[in-house]
Amino acid sequence: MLAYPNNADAVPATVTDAEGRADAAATPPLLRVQDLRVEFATDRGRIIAVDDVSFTLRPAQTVGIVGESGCGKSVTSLAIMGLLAAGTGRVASGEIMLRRRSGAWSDLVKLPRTQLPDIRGDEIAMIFQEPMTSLNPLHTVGDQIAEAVFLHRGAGRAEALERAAEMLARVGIPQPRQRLGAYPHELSGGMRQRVMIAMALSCEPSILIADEPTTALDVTIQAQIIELFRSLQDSSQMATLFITHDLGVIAEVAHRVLVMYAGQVVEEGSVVEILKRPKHPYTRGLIASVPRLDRPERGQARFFTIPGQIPEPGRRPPACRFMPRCAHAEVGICDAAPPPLEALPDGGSIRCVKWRSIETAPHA
Amino acid sequence: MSSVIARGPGDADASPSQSISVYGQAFRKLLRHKLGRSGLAVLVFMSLVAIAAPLLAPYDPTTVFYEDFLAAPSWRHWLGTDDVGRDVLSRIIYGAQVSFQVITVSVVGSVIVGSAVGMISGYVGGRLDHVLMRIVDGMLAFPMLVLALGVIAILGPGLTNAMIAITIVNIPGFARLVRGQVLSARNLDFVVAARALGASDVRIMVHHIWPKVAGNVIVYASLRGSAALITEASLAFLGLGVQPPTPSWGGMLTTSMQYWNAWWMSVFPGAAICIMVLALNFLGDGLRDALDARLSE
Repeated sequence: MLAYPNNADAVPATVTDAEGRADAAATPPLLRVQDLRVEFATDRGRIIAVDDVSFTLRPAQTVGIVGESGCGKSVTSLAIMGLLAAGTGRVASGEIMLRRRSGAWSDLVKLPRTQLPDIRGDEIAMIFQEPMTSLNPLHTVGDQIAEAVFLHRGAGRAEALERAAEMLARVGIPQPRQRLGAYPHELSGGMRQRVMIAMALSCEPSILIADEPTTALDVTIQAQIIELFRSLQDSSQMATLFITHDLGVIAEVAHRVLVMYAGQVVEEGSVVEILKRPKHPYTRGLIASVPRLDRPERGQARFFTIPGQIPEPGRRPPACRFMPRCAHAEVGICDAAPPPLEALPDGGSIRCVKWRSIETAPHA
Repeated sequence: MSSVIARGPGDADASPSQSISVYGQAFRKLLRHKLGRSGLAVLVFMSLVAIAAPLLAPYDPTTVFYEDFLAAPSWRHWLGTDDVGRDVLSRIIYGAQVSFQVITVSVVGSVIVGSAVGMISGYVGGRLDHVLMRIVDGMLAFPMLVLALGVIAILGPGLTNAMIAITIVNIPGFARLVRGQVLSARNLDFVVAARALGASDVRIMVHHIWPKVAGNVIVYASLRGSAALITEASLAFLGLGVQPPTPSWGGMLTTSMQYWNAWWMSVFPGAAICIMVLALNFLGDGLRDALDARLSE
């Protein structure tokens, strides 16, 4: 059996139990995703990429979705945006309820496709992973930021460019007015990501989906972008869905965390609970895998890794999907039936039948 | 460029860099490309000659000099006269007007129609794509000239109908090219990002995908231009294009066939066709080199 190194204090000191400001259940949610299931039609039949995922997003709240590549976190965000590749990916069941600016609720799954462009970029905006390729190389950054303003506010070119300059200044780009005429190739990766953020925020969306916005950036630039996110959070009521595989980033920005594995939510809770008292063996493994420079474990020169690989969507274990990689797995219990997502007293939830016995032996 | 970036945010003295669009850069690159530059220069020269034909041509192209049938090149007629005593140089100069007209109209026409078909086919996909592409395949199955002859057979001979025929013949090539480009472009990150920003399908096609595809279309258009010129000359040669007495290079070659001794009647119009085709191909090569590198970034 593999033991998880104790890595609980990988959580930065900035994370405190008091920082659950957006946990206040009093504020009505902006987005409620209920039992979302996304399927892809492939040559080898249908594949369930996202399996019964549910969560809510409240104003000024940041929900982080963590997991390895292929766990369904990006597909979840694309489903919310209605950007699943037509013809292959589709929402098979579930609902995505969005509270519109008007106050009315819309189910984005049932909304006619022709109405989605009105919501995208205006009420829900998205930032992508690759700033190097997510900007159109043939248009100036000014025109690209102005596009959303033009599309949703019907602004004239001069007015839209004025707004674009304002947004560039807000995301910390020096000399914003001169930068309006720059082409993406003239900017560095960090600057391009700032431009992407400016584009996404130009219509003041109520929800921002950030799909690995820092992954492609240098560590120092990452820190700057995260700092930018934090300051934007502080200055608005915007809710953020932050998708990443980087727990360090989650610790910095998120209030609540969804841990996904093989298309399912395996654990959900406040950032403090998840990072300081992880219950699911997968979450514990993820946290243990964060490289530590400051304090190598005794006699352990290597990084901790979770053994095995994420199962292919077609070959998932029938019961607990994490069982083949789990250090606590027990034949007869873990492979008996698919584990349900169990609600926890602290408001979180967990998908592991053995979590109580694992918890009593912390990091054993 | 990179030095500006390295200073990063917060640095106020970053010099405002001169921004050039990708197409602007490609044009500069074209001007540095030897063959492309010479092709462009020749075409510009020829188009100026065509425009200024009334000023440059020594005689009217239809004036008949009764005393000079089949006259060899001389100081009076630099490139000689034809079988009815018309000045060959003047006819070549005026013939350039016909050639440019044919190239411009048919290439622009087939670019517009072909690109629209290819764009819709590639973007919408599915059954529509299937139907459109089968039609295109059917058209591509015919040799160009045969298809053009078929269209002329329906419409009747004449310059306008020849241009329509050449346009139709060129549509499938552009449709195929654009469709393939759109298929690869529609899932590019920046296209998805534009959709995430709320751009409609039409806006994405026109504003985001088309500029990306246009470079390849321009290259292909310059190459199809030379093919259009040859098709026009062939149709005129067969007597199905421009009708006499309007001068056209292909038509001049037809008459020259019967007068083997009057070499100037065939060599000079043939050379004109050859030079223009070469110039268009050189331009196409230059454009490809200039645009490929820029657009693949």
